[in-house]
Amino acid sequence: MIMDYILETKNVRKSFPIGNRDTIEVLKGINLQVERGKLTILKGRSGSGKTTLLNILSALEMPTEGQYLFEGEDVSAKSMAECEKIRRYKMGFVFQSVALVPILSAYENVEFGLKLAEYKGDKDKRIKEILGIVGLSKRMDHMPAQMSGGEQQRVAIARAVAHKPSIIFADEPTGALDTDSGITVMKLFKDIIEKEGITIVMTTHDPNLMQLGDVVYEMEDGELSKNG
Amino acid sequence: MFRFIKNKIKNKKLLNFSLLTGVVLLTAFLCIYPMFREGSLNKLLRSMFVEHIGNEEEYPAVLSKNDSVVKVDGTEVADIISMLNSDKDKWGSQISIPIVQNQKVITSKGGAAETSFGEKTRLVLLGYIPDMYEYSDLVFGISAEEAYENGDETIKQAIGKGAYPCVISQKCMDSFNLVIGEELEYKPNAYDDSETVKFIVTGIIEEKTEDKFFYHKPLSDYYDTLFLSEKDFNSVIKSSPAKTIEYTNSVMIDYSVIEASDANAVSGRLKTITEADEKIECNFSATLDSYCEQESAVSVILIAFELPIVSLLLLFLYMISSRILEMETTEIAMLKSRGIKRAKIIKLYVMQSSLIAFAGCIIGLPAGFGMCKLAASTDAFLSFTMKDISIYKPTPMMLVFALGAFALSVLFMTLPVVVISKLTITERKTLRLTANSKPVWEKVFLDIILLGISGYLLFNYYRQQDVMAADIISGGAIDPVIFIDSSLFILACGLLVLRLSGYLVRLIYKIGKKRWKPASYIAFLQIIRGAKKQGFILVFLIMTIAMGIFNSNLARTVNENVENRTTYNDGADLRIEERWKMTVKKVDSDYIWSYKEPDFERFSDLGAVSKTRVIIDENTDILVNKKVEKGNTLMAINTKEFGETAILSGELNDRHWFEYLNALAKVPAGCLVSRNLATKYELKEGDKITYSRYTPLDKKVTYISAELVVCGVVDAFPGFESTYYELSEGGSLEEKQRFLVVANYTNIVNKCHQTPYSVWMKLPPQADASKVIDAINQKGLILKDTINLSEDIKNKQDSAMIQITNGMFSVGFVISLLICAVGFLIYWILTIRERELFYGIYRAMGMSMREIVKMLMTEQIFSSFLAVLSGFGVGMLTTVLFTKLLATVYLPQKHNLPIEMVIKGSDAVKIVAIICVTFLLCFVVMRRIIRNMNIAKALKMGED
Repeated sequence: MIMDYILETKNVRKSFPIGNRDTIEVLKGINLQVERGKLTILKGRSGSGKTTLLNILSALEMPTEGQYLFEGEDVSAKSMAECEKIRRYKMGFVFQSVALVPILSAYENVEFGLKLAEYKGDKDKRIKEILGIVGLSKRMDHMPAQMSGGEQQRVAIARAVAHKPSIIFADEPTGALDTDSGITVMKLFKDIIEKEGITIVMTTHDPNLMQLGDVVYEMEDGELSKNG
Repeated sequence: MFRFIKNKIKNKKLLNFSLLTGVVLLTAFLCIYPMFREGSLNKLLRSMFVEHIGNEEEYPAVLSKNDSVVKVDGTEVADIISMLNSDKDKWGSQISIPIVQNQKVITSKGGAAETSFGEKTRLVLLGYIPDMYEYSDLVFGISAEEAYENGDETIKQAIGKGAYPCVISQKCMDSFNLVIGEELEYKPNAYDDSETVKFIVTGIIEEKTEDKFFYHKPLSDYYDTLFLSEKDFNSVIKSSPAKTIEYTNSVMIDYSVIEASDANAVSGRLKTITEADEKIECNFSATLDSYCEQESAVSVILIAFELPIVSLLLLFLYMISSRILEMETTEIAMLKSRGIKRAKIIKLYVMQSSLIAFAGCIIGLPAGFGMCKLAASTDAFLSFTMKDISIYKPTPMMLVFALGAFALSVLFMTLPVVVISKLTITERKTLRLTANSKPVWEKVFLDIILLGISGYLLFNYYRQQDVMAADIISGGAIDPVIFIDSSLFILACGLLVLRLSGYLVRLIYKIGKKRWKPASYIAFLQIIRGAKKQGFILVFLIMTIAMGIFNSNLARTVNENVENRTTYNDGADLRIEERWKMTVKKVDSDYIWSYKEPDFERFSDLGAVSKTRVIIDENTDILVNKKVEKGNTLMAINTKEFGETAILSGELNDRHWFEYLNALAKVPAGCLVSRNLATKYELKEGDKITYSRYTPLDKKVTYISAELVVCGVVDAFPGFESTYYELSEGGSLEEKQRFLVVANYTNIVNKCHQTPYSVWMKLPPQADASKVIDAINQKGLILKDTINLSEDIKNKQDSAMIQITNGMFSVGFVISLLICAVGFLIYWILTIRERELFYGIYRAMGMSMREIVKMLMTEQIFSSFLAVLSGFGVGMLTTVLFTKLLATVYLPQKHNLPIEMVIKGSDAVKIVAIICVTFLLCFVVMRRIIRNMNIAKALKMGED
């Protein structure tokens, strides 16, 4: 059977300079393949290198060595502007810190995401549809400060999903939430994969959430191993 | 506790540095007040003494006593001098001010003299002035002492026959028609047949120009005195039947050391001296009294200029302090949750504020000294010069003001904590939820209310403008509200503009809501929803620019109007009047006087572009419709030369003034009359008027009356002021009108004989008039009067009030621009730092750096740039509405040149350049921060 990988890394290494001459290697030859339409989880302790890997996968950082292919294209050979385009049109992001624009309502936060991705369809219809999916139809006009942490994260997910990207990267999306809200978010991810056919790659260190992932990788000391 | 505070300050270095800057500027600006006030008052006092010299032609600080001593056998001049010296020393110690000169005039009165040529008998005095020759020039002849040795044959013969040699003043020579070598017979008692004493005139004396003030009264006042040597005077009084010897003891004190702060005390000491002896007179009590009246005007104007800037600085401290506390709310909540009482938290912040305020005051004091010197060095708005500013000295009061700055700083830095420490966590959360609602001032329509108040005040001031001007002319205090009103108007307009620009941005946002690109979309919403937060800095920006524009225009208007009026009053670059010799001859029973015109060509090689003779008689009667107008001005001019030499703007009359000169040139017996005369008597071209002039021998007798034909009516003419002010009997100043008649020089000389004229000169651009005057003096010409235009302008613009205006406006602008820049920078650095996570997220979502910069630029254009533009608009509007009113405070007198508003593009360019440089620096800093931002790091920061 030919597997449909959305992204693939080949021997990706990442080092950071410490002081004038020394460097520290955070990723030590990562070989990863992420299947389209699945929820892939990267787990690992703090400092294991999972966020660095996620930054490389989401084209926020470039690998020091190795190759990174996204939808068959070599991202590691692309310019900053080309990376920006990939992120803008093909990727979605959910952050641990929620990071909704505080001066925009739930509706406007999603609208901003759509504007950024130059969404061609009926924006209003799409915003209402996606906020319906995350269960916030009635709170569309609320400002972030008027919502709970879980609700804010759902708006952030709606914003990440609205423009129908190929993939969503979520760095510790449940890290700032209580267990119930965390589980709600994970269920939402599963729901989105089902309804929208989007791939999700997320990092977490919460063992309770591992079972909800389709594929789980473990990062340890800059090396990756498949875990179930 | 101290370490805790130290760490707190260290953690928010940037904000606490801004607070320190605010305190330094506040202390400095408050400390300017006592130093600038004292310097300005000293300047005012000095200028009043100098003005006294100009008006009264005498030394301005003289204590004098006119009295007599009873003559006893053996009374000699030396005894009287010794007594006068002891009086001088006594007054000196009583008044405690150094004496610079002491003039003693000893006279013997009661004689009548008859000249050898048989002229009319006149009463004369015999006089002796110690050290007279040291302070006088012998214009003609030799001194009385020298006459014994070096006199010519006539003199020696007369002395041989028992005549006493004497010298006389020029005026005495003119009045008695005396010549050198002329003998006079003197009867010690005019009304009996006592034995006569003979005198022979050996010389004519004049005051030395440089030692003019040795003489309390000018030598021209001694028109009836024969001055003898001490020896001769002793011998004459010995044989004189007069029982008394008169004296005048004049003590000139050093007015330049009278400090403004001592004026009241000196005035008091003078009163003690003059009340103790009725015969002692003081010629500067009036100056001191008038100074004391004007003293408050200086304080008022300084306070009026200080208030807006001090308010801005206090608001700045409050704003920064609130910003720090906003970031420390969690800390405060934590302290409260640990059971620390609110009072203790406030105490902690008071201590922190005190520490910053103390450091600020220490730096602020010398900064205030520097700023005061800077303010004193200005000669226009933002024009700093290297002129002598030594009159501005630090005063102990600066410490008191620094203490005041300390207290105010602590209060305004701690006020926000009093509010914040009261709130619980829940209340704070609720407050944050409403943070995007309208600011309080917008809800209560503060802008409209303030605009109404300032508009009403402005309307009232315009209505009472004439009353106000009259009050200022009579020495009344200036109402400070008139200045504060303009600041109030600017604040009101600033707030209104902010409200309106909010509506404008909302409208623009709504119009293109669907089409806005992400950067513009976020930028517009940021402006609309962050208005409350950003409003403060924008009002700051609008006020700084508006005040800068208005202040520069007001200062420019005042400076230029003062210059224009001085130029108009002087009429030419240089005017000099030479002392002419008059000869009087008796024909039958009449005295025939004549003046000999000095050689006019002596003025040819002085480097003047053009020169002309101008006869000005300010005591001419004008007869119109059988009604006589007394005490008016007759000017006799050579039209062509006058047109080439005199200065007058072409727009002040209905036609260019050259056309009037041409019209006059065509009619030899023609004249131009001033508008006020033409209006009063409904004069028109072709009408006839008659003028009459008075003989120089008697100011009550006219010697000529002639007719002139009106060939033009002028509103303005070089050197002619139609309005003047005179003290009425009731002590108030009365506005009076003076009329002008300008006639052809040849016609007037033909009709009235040759009379002294002044020489008007046009100098090349950049020429130094004082060098021309020096050259004239070197030629040995004795000048009666000199009018140096550039010197007059410099003196006028150096007056205390104008100096305060130029200085305070300039320093105020620099300070407000500085706090504006610091405030702006701090606001944006903090805002960018606050948004760093979001910029990281935007970048992560694929937004390019260019888009982020565009987003910031859009935000700047519709907030800061709009504020800058609005500031200019508000500044110009304030200029149009307030400038003429405020300029009246500086130039309250009615004048042929009405106050004109002066707006110069170069001033606006200067302000724009300064603002552009400041904000360019701010943008460079902002761009640097954004450029150095690492997306991944920014996202991490968010997680933290």
